Amino acid sequence: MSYQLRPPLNEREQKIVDGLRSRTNVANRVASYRIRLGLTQQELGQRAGTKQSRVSELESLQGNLQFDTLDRIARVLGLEIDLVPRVATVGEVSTRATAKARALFSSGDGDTGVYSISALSVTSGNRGEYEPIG
Amino acid sequence: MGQRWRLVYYICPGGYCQVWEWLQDLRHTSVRDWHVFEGQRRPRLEESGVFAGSPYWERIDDGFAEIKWKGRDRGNLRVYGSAESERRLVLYLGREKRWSRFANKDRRLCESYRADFLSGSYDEQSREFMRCAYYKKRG
Repeated sequence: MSYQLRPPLNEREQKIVDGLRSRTNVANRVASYRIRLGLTQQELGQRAGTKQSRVSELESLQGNLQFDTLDRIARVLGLEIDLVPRVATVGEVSTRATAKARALFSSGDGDTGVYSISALSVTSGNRGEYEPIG
Repeated sequence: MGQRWRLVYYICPGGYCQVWEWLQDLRHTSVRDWHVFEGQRRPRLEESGVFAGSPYWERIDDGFAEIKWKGRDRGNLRVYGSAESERRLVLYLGREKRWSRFANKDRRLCESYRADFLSGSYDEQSREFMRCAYYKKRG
């Protein structure tokens, strides 16, 4: 066992964490806005017409929430759902599709649907906030 | 956004750190469950601290609180801690919860750990040094 406080992830662990990245981003955004608005999971669930357990699952990276439910939750929090170009992780080679998606996204013509996008994010509508890094 | 909170793992005088060891064990048995803590619970706690509310920081009693999440591969997971000065959230124990209430054994352990943490002799840097030495020795 490594004695470092936060040992680096090995390849297998990195793969699992990368697979959870979209879920993690959405969960973090929802939780952050919910807490800032002073809502409990129960209150958010009620306002969005769903159960507290659905909100809990979402924030615990579990379950498969229906798109409509996620959309309602986002609306209660003053957010909207969007897809953003995937940002390559360390050691991952940026694909042509990703590069093209980034180019389209930055030119503001991101709705042509000709590229592959794998990241789902809940955004606050401020495009500058989730501009691709590097 | 105000000042950030800091999560501190309590380290015993000899260098043993239950929470760190428990999280490492969780990471080896279920990366997914471990990631819920590191990727989801931790950022929220560092941002909102004690104001994050349940399930991030749910007060139990005697000044203690628990961080809750449901393991996908293991049962209900809990980390017990307390909020201290300088926006520190001190974590004492990690457990797979089997009882509906804060077990007396765990409570006593948390109380003794907290008493040590609040004593004047607890120095974070030197304890971290002890922890490294302890786990380096154990391999």
